[in-house]
Amino acid sequence: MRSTGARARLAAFVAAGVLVSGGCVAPALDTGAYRQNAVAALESARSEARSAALAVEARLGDRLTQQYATTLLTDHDEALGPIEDSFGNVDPPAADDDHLRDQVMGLLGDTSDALSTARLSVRRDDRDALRDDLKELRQLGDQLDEAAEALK
Amino acid sequence: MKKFFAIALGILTAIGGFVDIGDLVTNGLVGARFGLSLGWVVVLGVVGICVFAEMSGRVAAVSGRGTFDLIRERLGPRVGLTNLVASMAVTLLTFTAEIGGIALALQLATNVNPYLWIPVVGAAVWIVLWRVKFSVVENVFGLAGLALIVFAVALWQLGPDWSDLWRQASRPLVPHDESHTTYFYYAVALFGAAMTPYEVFFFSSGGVEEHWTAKDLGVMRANVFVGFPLGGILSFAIAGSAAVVFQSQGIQVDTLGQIGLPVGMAMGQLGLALVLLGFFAATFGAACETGLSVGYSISQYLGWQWGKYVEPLRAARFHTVLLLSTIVGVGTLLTTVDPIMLTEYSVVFSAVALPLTYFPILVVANDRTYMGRHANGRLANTLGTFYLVVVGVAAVAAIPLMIITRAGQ
Repeated sequence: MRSTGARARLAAFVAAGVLVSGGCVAPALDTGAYRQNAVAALESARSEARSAALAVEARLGDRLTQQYATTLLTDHDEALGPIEDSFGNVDPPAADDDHLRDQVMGLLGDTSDALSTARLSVRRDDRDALRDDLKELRQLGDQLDEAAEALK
Repeated sequence: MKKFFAIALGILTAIGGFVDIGDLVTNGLVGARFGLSLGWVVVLGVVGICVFAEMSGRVAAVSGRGTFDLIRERLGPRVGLTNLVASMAVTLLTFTAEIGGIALALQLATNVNPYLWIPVVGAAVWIVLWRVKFSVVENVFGLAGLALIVFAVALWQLGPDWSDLWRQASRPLVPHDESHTTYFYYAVALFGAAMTPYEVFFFSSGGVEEHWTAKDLGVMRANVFVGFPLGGILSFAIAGSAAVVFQSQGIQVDTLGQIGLPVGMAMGQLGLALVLLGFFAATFGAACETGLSVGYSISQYLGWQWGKYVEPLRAARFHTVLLLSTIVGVGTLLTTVDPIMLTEYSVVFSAVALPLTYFPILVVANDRTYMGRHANGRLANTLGTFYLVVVGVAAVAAIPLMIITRAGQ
């Protein structure tokens, strides 16, 4: 029969294995780790914004069907939620990091709004709105890129 | 002339049937992140699958028996069972991912939620497995899968810097913003995608279904040594298209829609229609192949009547396995698991199971009791042994790399 200590160690090992293999992110322990989380969130959001911009541009040029473009934009829109949750659920380790949190959450929120708007425009096939969405998505892509680079 | 057409048809279906959801997703993802710097893995994987597909096809043609039948007889029921369990777990996971891939392809064409498509797709796959002739399944989806050649045309139309692509492929380097562990994690995934175990089981069992004999070895080898490498070029084209469009912008590929986007950008809606046809044919064809592989392997190991060349009533247990596999696949997907994530895991676990798949084939192909004068020669054994070392390294490294990189994040 296993001792209590051995069982506890086994349980801790299994739990750690499950967490690590499941890709879970531990809470930030210091400012450096928090900044790394911020960079990862900004880069993921940049990827979604820029990919969505490509899809909108292709739709404006009639190179994608409405169904294909809508599916792409829906995927990008849905991908933003987990990115916001992943970063937003980690508390800043120090008061000095609150500004960073506000900045990143603000950019993620703007990107989420832009993706939702673009999804609706594609679904309605509103070409004028799509042109505005394209401009906004490109701007956001650049802003997210600059913010991520500034934190590296 | 009849033989010429048989060879041509075999090569074409081998090309069209080479790519499945694992190849599509892994090559798109890797191309966007690493460019063509992991192209050497595609070459390594294609040569490896050629070596073992030829070996297993030769075993089927000479012995007229299925791989698992011989493995159990030659290596005993315990080793055979270990081999069966590992291979089947991976093949069932791949089967599930393929069904998910079909649903995603249909979503791109219709914008109807994939979870509504999954039961329909499951029913369609099962009906095809139950009712449609083996040759029809192989030829129709294999030929329709040729539509994926559109990736090569799109790559050309996108006007890439060919010298840069060649430099990436010929002098592979880890991109500056990626770690070595992530690079090698995706190398293992790409290798697992290229050498998926089901491909050799399906290929050799298909040979038994089509009553290959030693006289058919020439046609079989033409399919393998011409069709598979040309199919591998499609993998390069998918990775190349993703590299040209996404890599410079730092875009990561997470969806099937993104993988087809470069084709739409380069060729418009005609290209898009072809890529959707290719996605559908590649995933549906692979779903049939993986589903049949599950049924073949279990039935061969347990000594049941198997195959589509006999009436379903005479192979009732084989068809029951097909039905249950389809139910398990559909049920797993309806838990709302992401099919793309499932695919990424399936190719990595495929790498883990590779030694258990390929070692017994090498043993059986060397046994002159079964193979007579068609047993492995020096070249086949040298290549087979080299690849056993490579798959051993990939299998050992796969899980640690998955944990260290948090599945490639």
